[in-house]
Amino acid sequence: MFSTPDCQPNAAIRTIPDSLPVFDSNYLSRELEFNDNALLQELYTQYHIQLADLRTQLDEYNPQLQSPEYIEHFSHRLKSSSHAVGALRLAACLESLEVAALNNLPELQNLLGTTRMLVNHTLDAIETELTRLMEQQQ
Amino acid sequence: MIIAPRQQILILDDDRFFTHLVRRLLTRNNHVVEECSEPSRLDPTRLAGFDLILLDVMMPTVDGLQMLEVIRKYAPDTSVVLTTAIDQSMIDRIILQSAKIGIRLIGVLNKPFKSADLTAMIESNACYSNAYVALTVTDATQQNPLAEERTGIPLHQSMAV
Repeated sequence: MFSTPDCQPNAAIRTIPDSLPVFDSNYLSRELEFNDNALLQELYTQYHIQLADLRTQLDEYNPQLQSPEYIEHFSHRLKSSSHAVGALRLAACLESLEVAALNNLPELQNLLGTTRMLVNHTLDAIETELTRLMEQQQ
Repeated sequence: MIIAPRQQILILDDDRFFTHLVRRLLTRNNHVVEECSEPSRLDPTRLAGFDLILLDVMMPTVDGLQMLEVIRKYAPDTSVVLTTAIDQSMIDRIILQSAKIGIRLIGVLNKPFKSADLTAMIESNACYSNAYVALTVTDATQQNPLAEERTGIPLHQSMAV
């Protein structure tokens, strides 16, 4: 199983592998060993809501007013969900973002940009998958 | 196939996707599940009503160690499974602390996990006995042979449950 790497203070930021898919639509059902269209729709919808919230939080983040702890908190929370749902590239990015925020590293700004881009790509992919699942159900 | 008896389970986690996912998996097996994403608002006197608590050890408002103390005080007979995406040294510390204060720690689930792992934990709780807990604590420390070294807490102290 794709395990969540540890996040520790002073850990080095890892490069996000190009080989990781933005979204693996088989990941969740494969890892959790179920194949239930309705449940998948429910879980993807829940994740989509959280990811849309993350996009808002990213848009509202102001480094002059908020500490990196703000970033650390939501990146920690979302990295597990992203792994679980199969948004593997975003999960890897959030892991790096968490390390950068935890250690207040200069890479933080670049990673925020990458995270914004990946959040948008992942949201698009989830919407596509939700549409496919709904069509399949009908 | 062994079907675990129906249990009252509480999920304490600030990740709503995770709580939703776990609740759906557990209710499919007929367990009664409640979720709480803001443990700081939880009435601790309600904890004793649960057979099992799935506890995220890293939440923004309450940390895992604090929450274990609350569980020990208000629900000493309730079992706990730690859910985590944190580093191993922190997990070791929490395992040993759980043993020290007498928490019925059934195991640790690293997020994300397979549904079979979750089911195994729930079934373990159904088979709970004092001997089983002693074994679990022994296993937990044996699986982490460097735990004593990393945490500085002697294992014999943690085993005195």
